[in-house]
Amino acid sequence: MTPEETTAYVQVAAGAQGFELSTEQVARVAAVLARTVEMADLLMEFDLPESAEPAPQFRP
Amino acid sequence: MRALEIVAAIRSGGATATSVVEAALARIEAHNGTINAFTAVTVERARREAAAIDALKAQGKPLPPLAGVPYAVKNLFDVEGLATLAGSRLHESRRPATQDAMLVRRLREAGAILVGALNMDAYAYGFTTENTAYGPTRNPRDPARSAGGSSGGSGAAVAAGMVPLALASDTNGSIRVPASLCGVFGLKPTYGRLSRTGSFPFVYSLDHLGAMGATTDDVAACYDAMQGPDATDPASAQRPVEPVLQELVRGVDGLRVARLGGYFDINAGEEARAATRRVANAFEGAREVELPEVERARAAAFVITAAEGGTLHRKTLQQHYDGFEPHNRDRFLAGALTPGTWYVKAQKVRAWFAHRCSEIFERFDVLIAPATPVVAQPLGAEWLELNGRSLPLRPSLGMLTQPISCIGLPVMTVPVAGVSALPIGVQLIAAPWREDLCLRAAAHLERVGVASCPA
Repeated sequence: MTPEETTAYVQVAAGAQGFELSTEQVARVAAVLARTVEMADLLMEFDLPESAEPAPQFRP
Repeated sequence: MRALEIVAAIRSGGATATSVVEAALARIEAHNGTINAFTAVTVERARREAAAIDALKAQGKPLPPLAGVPYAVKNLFDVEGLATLAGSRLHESRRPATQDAMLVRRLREAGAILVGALNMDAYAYGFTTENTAYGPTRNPRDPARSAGGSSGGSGAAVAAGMVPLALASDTNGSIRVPASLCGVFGLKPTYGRLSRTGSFPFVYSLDHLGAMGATTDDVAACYDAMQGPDATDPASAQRPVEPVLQELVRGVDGLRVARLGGYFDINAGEEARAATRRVANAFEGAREVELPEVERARAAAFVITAAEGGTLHRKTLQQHYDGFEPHNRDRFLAGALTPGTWYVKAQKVRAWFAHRCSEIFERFDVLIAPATPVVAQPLGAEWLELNGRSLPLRPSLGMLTQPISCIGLPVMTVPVAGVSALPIGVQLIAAPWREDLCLRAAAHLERVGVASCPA
């Protein structure tokens, strides 16, 4: 996501969840989410087989 | 005095539980004004529990294994009669807990004496214990610096000698980071080993509870007293108690040890690398090995934390945003907006990484890695300078611990002596359910003078 897309996403997703954010709040949350986007990119670009299962209740 | 020294003194008649507790209360009174580790001191309860131990002794009855040992708990543990703050002022108006958390109950049965509740980052989301509502916890080794977090109160209380033992939680490094920065021992057991019943959650699929202390055997004794399955915690493993204290004398002959390179070298500062080398050199024949895709494992922990933490606090954020901790309310809010596809992929990467690491543990018993990239940083710092890079301090302090807790491995963090003026710790990591190996390695490092809690 570009910075503009991240900001637009925050506005839409926050609104959909019932948050009423000021412009300043949107900017702060978008700045935080940008870091998560970097992390998510590392995950989404990593190829795993379709059979790979998630660990929703992880037990080592 | 160390925990097991206290037990021995009380058993032999060299001290009473009451005198030990009064001394602990006096140290808290003397030091807490500067350090700000405690958010509550349970004076009446401590005196009552100490009197009960002394009565047992007077009656000639057997004393429990931690008889008379003062300890304190991160304030996300339920303590009967106290509101469970979890570092948030929003919780002050909640009703006091009607019973102790499971681990507090188990320590009470073991004869330990609760003296108070400890400061933390609000809702455990942070690595510096700079709590806006309750003030920052200061590092006893240098009060101008952070104690680390989120269990900064626990690390500081032990490091300042206010208590010999403290309980804490670790989701992404919250035991290991303050243990490293305060110079104490900290055990994060395998995910599911210790019951979380009666503790305030942060990230259900990553939350661990553990202990911090000034020696390996103190931590081992505390851990042994807390073990055991608990049907009321869905994550609790149905495993029997597997005592480790008696294992510490076995030494490390035959243990296959390796230092983690790659990601763990690249993201370690000079002191952290020196500490890790010093530890590796203490194990004959230690090798070097790399874990695969560590950065993606950290990313998985990061995304899972954001999504689960944000979901947990979504309603509170909607209703009480202004009362939320300013340092992390926007992180929680952003977490609540995490797309489901990211979360599911993170859980897939996590399962993949766990499987690959299990292959490494076929070749090695204990893995060594730095616990924090750097030593304790000044309070108020926002950025971390690391090997020519400028990184945001609060998330980056956990970059070496997150990949390990992401897959629930047991870790003992040990303070490494003689490396730098300020403390720094190293992680001793083992396969799931092999806390005994982490602790045997830690005991060895103490015996050879490589690990010790600074005076």
